[in-house]
Amino acid sequence: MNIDFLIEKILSYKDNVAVVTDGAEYTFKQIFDEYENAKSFLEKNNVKESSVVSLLADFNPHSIAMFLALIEKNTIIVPISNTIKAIDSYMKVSESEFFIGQEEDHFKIQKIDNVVSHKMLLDLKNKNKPGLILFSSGTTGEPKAALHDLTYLLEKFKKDGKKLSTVTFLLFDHIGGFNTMMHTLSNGGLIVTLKTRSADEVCSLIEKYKLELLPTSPTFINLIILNKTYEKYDLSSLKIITYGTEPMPESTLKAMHKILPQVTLKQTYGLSEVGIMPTKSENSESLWMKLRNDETFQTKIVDDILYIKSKSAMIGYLNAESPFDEDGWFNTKDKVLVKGDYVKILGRTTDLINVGGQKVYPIEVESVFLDLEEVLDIRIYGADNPIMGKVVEAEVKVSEENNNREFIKRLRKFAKEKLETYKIPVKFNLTTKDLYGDRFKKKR
Amino acid sequence: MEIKEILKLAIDELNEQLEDDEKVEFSDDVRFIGSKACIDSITFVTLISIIEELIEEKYNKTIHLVNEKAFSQKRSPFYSIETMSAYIEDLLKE
Repeated sequence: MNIDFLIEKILSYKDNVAVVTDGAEYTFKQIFDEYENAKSFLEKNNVKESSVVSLLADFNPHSIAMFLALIEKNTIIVPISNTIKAIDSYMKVSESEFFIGQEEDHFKIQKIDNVVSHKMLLDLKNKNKPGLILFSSGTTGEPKAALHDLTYLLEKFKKDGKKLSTVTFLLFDHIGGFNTMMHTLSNGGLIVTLKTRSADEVCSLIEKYKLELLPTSPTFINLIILNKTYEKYDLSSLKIITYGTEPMPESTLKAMHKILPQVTLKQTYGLSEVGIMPTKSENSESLWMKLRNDETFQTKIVDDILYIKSKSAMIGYLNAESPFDEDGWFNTKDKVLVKGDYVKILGRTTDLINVGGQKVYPIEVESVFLDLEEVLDIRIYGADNPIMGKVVEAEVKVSEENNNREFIKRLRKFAKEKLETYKIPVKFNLTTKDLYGDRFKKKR
Repeated sequence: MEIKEILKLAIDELNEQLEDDEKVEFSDDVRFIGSKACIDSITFVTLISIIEELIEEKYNKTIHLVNEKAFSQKRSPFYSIETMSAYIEDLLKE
């Protein structure tokens, strides 16, 4: 019932290829068959409606089909990507009653001795509606578990959208990954799954399958630019690159536009708490974007902070206070600049560095240094200081030959021309190691 | 390497990010704090950070120059190159 609309669409695309995994092609008909198998599997293993089920997997035809079967079964799904280490704590917080893992093309299931007692989970169970629990990928503190009523998240996929071929760059347990999967399936597009998410793998698959959409992060775009991966592969099929999940340095955006001028570079704005908001970038070189205000999403800006009210917002966190005010507004903690109908995200107020009363946004400093060819990547952060309260520090990825004090002197000289004194990092930590994590997002 | 040489290296590095009319001279007449200070507080913090890093590189020892001891001394150890150098030598002996 929940996904009748989707199954109908899937059946109508019949013999078109829906998913490619490891070079093997699966048609929409085969995905439907897999979905039927998954439903029988759940039946056979006594997974009752409204159960909380953890699903450990990455994108592939079987896990996609299982995901759909779990929605149809009205279960509350906890997708866990293979990169997650704290599986036990995810299962505990979500009060999972079943654990499904994948071995090659078949699933193994385990009944878990958890009793669901959380009021929000019980409410959803009583309504007999499918749910989705997404954990925030924050590097500090305990990940927050956002509980969604899936019926609201599914709503937007009922309307017809653009048919695009794409890669599952965003992970299985990410709101963006869910969005890519549902959008592509419901519009008859092609999903090519990834194994390593390396720049070479992604670009070679774009070339091989003439893919049109690359949903990714600024860090990954920077990686393609630095490694000149675009020179090795034919990326002319690409029509859209969407970027989100972290602030985009202006220098990276402009460089990518120069390399692939035919590609529309579009900023996305999604949060696991409120869903993916429809946006329109001013143009491919611009960080200004228009936020659509309609019946599903409303925005307001108070003291330069963006607030969102959305129909597809989560019910709440399972393990934290509600972030909504009494009228249902969600404080994104993102500081924005406003220009007419457009806004520009400066960054999280929590990332803001207050240097003796003067405010520094990491992204603006990062963007300046990324203009230097020898700076392979940079992370700017605030450090405690007994004199100033906070000071700016930098971690800079460089090649072996630049991993020395002389290079720091060059960085200081370069900074003098471009940045106010209080924005210049007090300390430069050079490294030859990567600055990003499993999600191609800077570790903050 | 003598501490004073390290201070010279640190000032050289700091000068890279300073405008010509702001550059710090390596001279004992130069004051780093107080009303006659030649640099503002954030630049002072940067200088201290560079000195700490150079000490770590050359002596393989982590020191924090701005600490309680520095604040409790009658005369600030950051007054001049001479006082700073004596203060660092003291810290390294600890």
